[in-house]
Amino acid sequence: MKTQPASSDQLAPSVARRQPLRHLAPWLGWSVLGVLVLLAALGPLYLSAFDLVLAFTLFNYMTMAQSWNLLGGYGGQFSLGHSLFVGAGSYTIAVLLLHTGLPLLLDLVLSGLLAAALATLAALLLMRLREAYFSIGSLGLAMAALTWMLNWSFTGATSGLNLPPAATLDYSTLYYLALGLLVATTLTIVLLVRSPFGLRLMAIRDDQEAAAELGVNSFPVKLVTFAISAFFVGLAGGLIALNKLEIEPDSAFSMNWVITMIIITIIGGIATSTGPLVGAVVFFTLQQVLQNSQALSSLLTGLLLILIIRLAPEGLWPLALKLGRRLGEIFVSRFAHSKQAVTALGAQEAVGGRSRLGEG
Amino acid sequence: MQAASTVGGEPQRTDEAPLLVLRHVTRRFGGVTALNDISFEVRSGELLGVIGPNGAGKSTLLSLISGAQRVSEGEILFAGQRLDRLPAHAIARLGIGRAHQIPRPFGRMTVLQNVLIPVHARKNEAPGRRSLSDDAEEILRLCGLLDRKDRQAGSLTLLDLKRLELARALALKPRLLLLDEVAAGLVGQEIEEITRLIASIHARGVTILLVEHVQAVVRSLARRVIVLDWGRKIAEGTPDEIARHPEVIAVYLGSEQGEQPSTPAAIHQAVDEQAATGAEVNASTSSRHSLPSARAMSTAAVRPSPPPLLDVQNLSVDYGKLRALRSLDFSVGEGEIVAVVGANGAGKTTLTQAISGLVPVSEGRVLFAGREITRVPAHQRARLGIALCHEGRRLFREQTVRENLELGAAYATRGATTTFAQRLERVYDLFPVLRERASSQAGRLSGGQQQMVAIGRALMAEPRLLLLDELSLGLAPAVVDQLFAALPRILAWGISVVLIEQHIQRSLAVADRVYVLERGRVVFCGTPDQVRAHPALQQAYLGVAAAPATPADSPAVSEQEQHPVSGT
Repeated sequence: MKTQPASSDQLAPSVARRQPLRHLAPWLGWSVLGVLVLLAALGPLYLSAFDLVLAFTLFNYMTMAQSWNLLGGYGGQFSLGHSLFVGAGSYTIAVLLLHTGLPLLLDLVLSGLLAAALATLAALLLMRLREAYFSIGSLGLAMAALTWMLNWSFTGATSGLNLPPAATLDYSTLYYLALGLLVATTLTIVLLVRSPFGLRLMAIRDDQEAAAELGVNSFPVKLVTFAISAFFVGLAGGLIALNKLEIEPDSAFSMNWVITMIIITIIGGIATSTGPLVGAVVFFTLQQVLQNSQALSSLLTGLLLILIIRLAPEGLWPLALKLGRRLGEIFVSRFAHSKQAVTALGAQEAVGGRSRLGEG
Repeated sequence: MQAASTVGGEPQRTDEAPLLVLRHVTRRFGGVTALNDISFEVRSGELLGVIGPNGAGKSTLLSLISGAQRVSEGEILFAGQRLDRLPAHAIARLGIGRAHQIPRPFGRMTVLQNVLIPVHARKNEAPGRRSLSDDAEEILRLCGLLDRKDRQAGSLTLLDLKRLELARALALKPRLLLLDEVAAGLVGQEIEEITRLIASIHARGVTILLVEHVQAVVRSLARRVIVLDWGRKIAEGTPDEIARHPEVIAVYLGSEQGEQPSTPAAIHQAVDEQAATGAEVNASTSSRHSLPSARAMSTAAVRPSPPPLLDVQNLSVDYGKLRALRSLDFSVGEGEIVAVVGANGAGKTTLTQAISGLVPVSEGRVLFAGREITRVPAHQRARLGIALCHEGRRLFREQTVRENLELGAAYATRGATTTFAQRLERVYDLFPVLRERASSQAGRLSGGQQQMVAIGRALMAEPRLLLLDELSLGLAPAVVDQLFAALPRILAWGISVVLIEQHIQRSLAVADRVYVLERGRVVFCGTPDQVRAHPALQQAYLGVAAAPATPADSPAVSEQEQHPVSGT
C-alpha cells in the first residue's frame, strides 16, 4: 500500500501507523554507528598494514568531503578552491618539521590553522561573489597558489620537500590520527549545522536577502564557515604529507582533491552529514577495485555521477533512507493489518480508500 | 494571554508619537526614479495602507525601509534613529519585520527552522527567558502553521507560504511590520483568513505598513491610506476619502478628461495613415468597427455570431490547491480587440497563459479557429497562430534586436502568407526605432523599446491572435501612446488582439469588447460604453461601487471588521 501522496492531511491514520518506526529509527542509527566506531577503533587489531593505509586514505577522503560539504552543501558556496587548503596543510607541516623543533601534533594543528587563516583571507576576497562567480574565483585562487608554489624556492619549487626521517609514523598511529580527525570533523559539523549558526548558514544558502531582513548578518557566518571547512581540510592535508613523506606542488595542490570532495559529496548526498561518509565508501571502493584500469575507474565514477544526478539528485544516502522508510512502512502496515484483521477490517478498508483518494 | 507577549507589547491603539518617519525619500535605479521625494509618518500602533498601481514603487518603498535597498536621497527615521545607513540585518534586529509579496521561504529548511532564524536573530537583544523553539511554535500556532512545522517550507501551498512570511516577520517581535501584498494571489475564504490574522496582529499593538492590491483588505484594515503613482505620493486620507479622490480614480481607471482624448487622437491619426496606404486596410478596419456594434449586448453570454477565432468555454485553471480561473467563458472574434481588465490577482495573466498553453487547464475547453486545442502543447499552439507577449517581455537580452526578431520568425505560423523580409519590413515600419537599433543588444534598450521588440518578435511569426499581457506596464505615457497607436495597424494585418492593460481608459478606448475579471471570474462583459456605465469596474479595482454597494464592502461592515479580535 503506497502512502506517498502529496496531500498528507487526509492521511492521519497512515502517519499514526508510521509512528513506531519513527521511535525505532534513531536507535537503529545510533547502534549501527556505535558498532562501526568500535570496529574502526579496534582496526589495528585485525587489519594488515596494507589495509590500515587504505583505511587511512578512506578516512581522509571522508574528512575532506565532510568539510567541503559544510561550505558547499550546507552553505551553498560551491568552492572549487579547496585543493589550496590540502596543499597548504601538507606544506605547513613539512616546513614546520624541517625548520622548527615543535612537537608533531602542534605542527599538525598549525597546518590546519594556517589553512583556516588562508581561507579567511580568501573569504574576504571571495565573499562578495555569488554562485558561479564564487566558484570560479575560488578556483582561480587555488591555481594561483599552485603557480606560486611551483616557483617558490623556499619550498623547493617543482621538486618539493622531503619530510625529515623523524616524522615517520607507524601505520596504526597514522590510522588513529586519521580516524580521530574524521570523528572530530564529523562531530563538529553535525553539532554546527544543528545549532542556530547552522540554521543561519542554511538560510543564507536558500535566500541571502530574505535572511538579512530577518536579522541574519551573512558575512561573519560565511567567513567562519569557510575557515572551519578549510581548517579540517588543512589538517587532512597535514596527515597526507605525514603518510607520503615527500610532497611536491602538482600533487599537493592538485585539482583532483577538490573534484574528489565534490564527487564524493554528490554521490553520497549533499547537505547531509552521513552522505559524504557513504559517498567516500562508494567512491573509494570503485577506485580500489578498478585500480588496475584507471580509465575504467574514471568512466564508471562519471557514469555513477550522471546516474545519481539524473535519478536521485539528493544522493545515495537520502535515497537509502527513503527506501528504508518505504520498506518499514510496508512491514508495519502488514503487521498492523494482520493484527487488527479480525477486529478492524472495516476500518482498515476505509483508511485504504481514503489514502487512495488522496493520491488522486 | 500568552501569545500577546510573543508578538508585541500591550494591546494599544494609535499613539501620537511617529514610529517611522520618511523625509524626502528618493530612490533611483540608473536613470529611472522609482520613488520621488516621498514623505510621510507612521504613528506608533497605526495601520497605514499603501496602495497604487503596478510599478508605483510600493515594494521599493518597503525595501528602502527594510534596508534591502539603499536610499538615494532623503532619510528614514525609526523611533528617532536613522535607518537609511544601516544594513538590513541590523534594521531587522531593531524590530522591523517584512513579509514579501512573492514568498521567499528558506525552501530546504523546515517551517519551524524558518521561524527559528528570526527568533535567534532577536535573541541577541533579549537574552534568556523561555525556550526559543517554544516561542517559534507559538508564532506558528498563531499563524495556523503549527501542524506543518516539520514540513519542508518549499512544499507548502501559496496560502501557507504567505502565512510563513508573516510568521517569520512576527518572530522578530517587530515593532513595525511591513506587509507586501499578503493577500495577492489568494481568493475568497483565504483573503478573509489572512485579513483576520493581520487584524489580530495589529490588535496586539504592532504598527503595520500594509501594501495591498486587494482593496477589500485595505478597506477593512486601514484607517489611513497613502496612494503612490509613478513613484510619487499623490493622496493621503481615509479609505473612503481615497476611493472618492479624483486623482486616485484617475490613476486606477484613467481620467475622462486627461488621458482619454490624447489616445484616440493618436489612434485616429494612425488609422488615417493606414487608410492612405491601401484599400485592403480600409476593408478590415471597417469590418472591425462593424463587428462590435452588431454585438452590443451586456451579458457574459456575448459571443461573436460567426464562429469566433478563439472560443474559451467553462475554463478553470488551478495552481496546486489554488483555483486561479473559475468556469470562465471568453471569446475573440476575427479582427477584434478584446480588453481584459481587473485588479492584480484577478486571473488576467493566467488567462493568457491558458490560451497560449503555458499552464495546464483543469476544466473546460479552448477552441482556436474551430479546432480544439485544450491539450495541444504551447509550441504547437504558437505554430497555429497564437502569439503571447509576456508581462515582463522575456526578451533574449544578450541578442540584438534583429536577432530577437529573427528568432520570433523561426517558428512562424503554418501557412504564413508573407515572407520573412516582408514581415521584418512591416515590424520596422510599425516601430521605426527598431530599424535604427537593429544591431543593439535587446537588453540595453529602454523599457518602451524593449516592449516594441517583444511585440515585433510576436508579430514576426505572423500570428492570427496576439495576446498582449500588460502592454504599458512601467512605461512612460509618451511611449504608451506610441504602443497604442500601433494597435490599429496590427489589426489591419488581420490579427486579433487580446489586451491586458492597467490603464483602463486607454484599453476601453481601443477595445471592441471588454471582460471584467474579479478573482478568477468574469463579472461583466460588454462594449466599452456598457462597462463604463456599469459599477462592476469600480468594484473590481477600488472595492467600492459607485452604485449600490455589496454588503461586504459597505463602510458599516468594514468598521466592524476592524475589530475582529473580539471574536478570536
